[in-house]
Amino acid sequence: MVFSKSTKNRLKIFSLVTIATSLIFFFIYNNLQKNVVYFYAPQDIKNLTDTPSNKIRLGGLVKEGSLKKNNNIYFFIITDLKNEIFVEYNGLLPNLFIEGKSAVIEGVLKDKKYFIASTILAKHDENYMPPEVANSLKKNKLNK
Amino acid sequence: MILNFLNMSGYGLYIWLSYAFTALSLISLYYVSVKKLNSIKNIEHLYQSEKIEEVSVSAQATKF
Amino acid sequence: MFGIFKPRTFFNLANTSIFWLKIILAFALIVGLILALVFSPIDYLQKDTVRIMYVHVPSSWISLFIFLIIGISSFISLIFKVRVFSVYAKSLAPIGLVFSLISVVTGSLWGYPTWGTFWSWDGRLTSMFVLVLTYILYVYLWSFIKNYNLAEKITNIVGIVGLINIPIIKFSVAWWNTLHQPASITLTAAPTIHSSMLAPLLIMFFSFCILSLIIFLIRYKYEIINFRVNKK
Repeated sequence: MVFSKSTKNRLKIFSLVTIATSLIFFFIYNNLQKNVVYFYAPQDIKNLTDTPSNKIRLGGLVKEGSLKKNNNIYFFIITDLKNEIFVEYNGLLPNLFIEGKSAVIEGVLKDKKYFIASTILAKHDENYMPPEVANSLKKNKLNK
Repeated sequence: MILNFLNMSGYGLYIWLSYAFTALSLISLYYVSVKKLNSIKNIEHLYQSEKIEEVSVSAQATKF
Repeated sequence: MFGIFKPRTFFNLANTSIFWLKIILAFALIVGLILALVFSPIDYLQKDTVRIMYVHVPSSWISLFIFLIIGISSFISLIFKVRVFSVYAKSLAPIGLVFSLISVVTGSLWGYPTWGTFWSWDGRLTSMFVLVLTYILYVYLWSFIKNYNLAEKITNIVGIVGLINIPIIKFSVAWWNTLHQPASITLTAAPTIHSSMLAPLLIMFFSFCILSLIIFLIRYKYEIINFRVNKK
């Protein structure tokens, strides 16, 4: 392709600016990865050197069979299938908070194994299907 | 039966609100656009003229 | 080959096609809405709230796609000085703005009954919020700067810079821990949406595309006439 001289110049300037900005964004992104975490998985909390005293979010699967209720206070375990964290929560559970599904929990760590929740958000996955299909999938799993 | 349909197993409010918001904003976008065009249509002969080709100002438009 | 980029050819094409586009739109919209609201099944966990997906997801796709076009058009206009591409971008921007707003509002309305919150600053929601702001900035700059050539240059730059946000939105759910669920429909794997739900989703997407095209043709016509008048 034949471009005029001024077009070539603009292309040059543009590519220089693009390279410069993408480098800047690359560094910003790398730092963001380290500093801005929306939620911690149980493994991340295990790897922390000290227990943060401020509000954090914890995310993972609600362990099946772990949800218990005592005097309006819920107790359950959040797991990433390797590490488990015990959670205490006083409040209403969202409809989609189900054992075996994931959730994001806001609150403070009492210690590395015990989390006091103030808000619970249910996280749902990318699977959408009618109830009949879900039931037959479940049956197939049990038969195996 | 109709009430059941509107209720949407208890989530009717959220569902109908989102559909209503979508419909309202799209319809208003359409009408604003049509109105804008009509406001200027009395000089429509302008775009009929041959000179409109000037709009694609650059000679390169045809070159590449 | 590039004759279609000439406004006059474009207008003739638009004038004849807009009637048929409207008929296709009416048909697709009726089928899509009936499927979405009546015949599509409920989700095994979310029950009826899954129906919000049929307006939320297509709107998000379109708002992303339109910004992609705006970015590329801005690039062509700024570097190669094919200025008609700025007019494309300018006519598309309000459509993208409205769709991004729909995406955010219906997303909140979906989030409250499912997640338990209207809003949370996770990667996907934050980057989508930035997209809405970019659209507002873009549209605002066009109406605020009275000098056409200056406005064209500045909005071109906004369009190109804003392009960075598009992959961030797309991959935010893969790069970071987010509250928002990962993509159900990808180019590389089978969709994780059951076919009875995929059908209304795609039909609604198709009708939103046609609607965007109709509004674009109307706005484009206005912008071109406007361009001529301002030049005189």
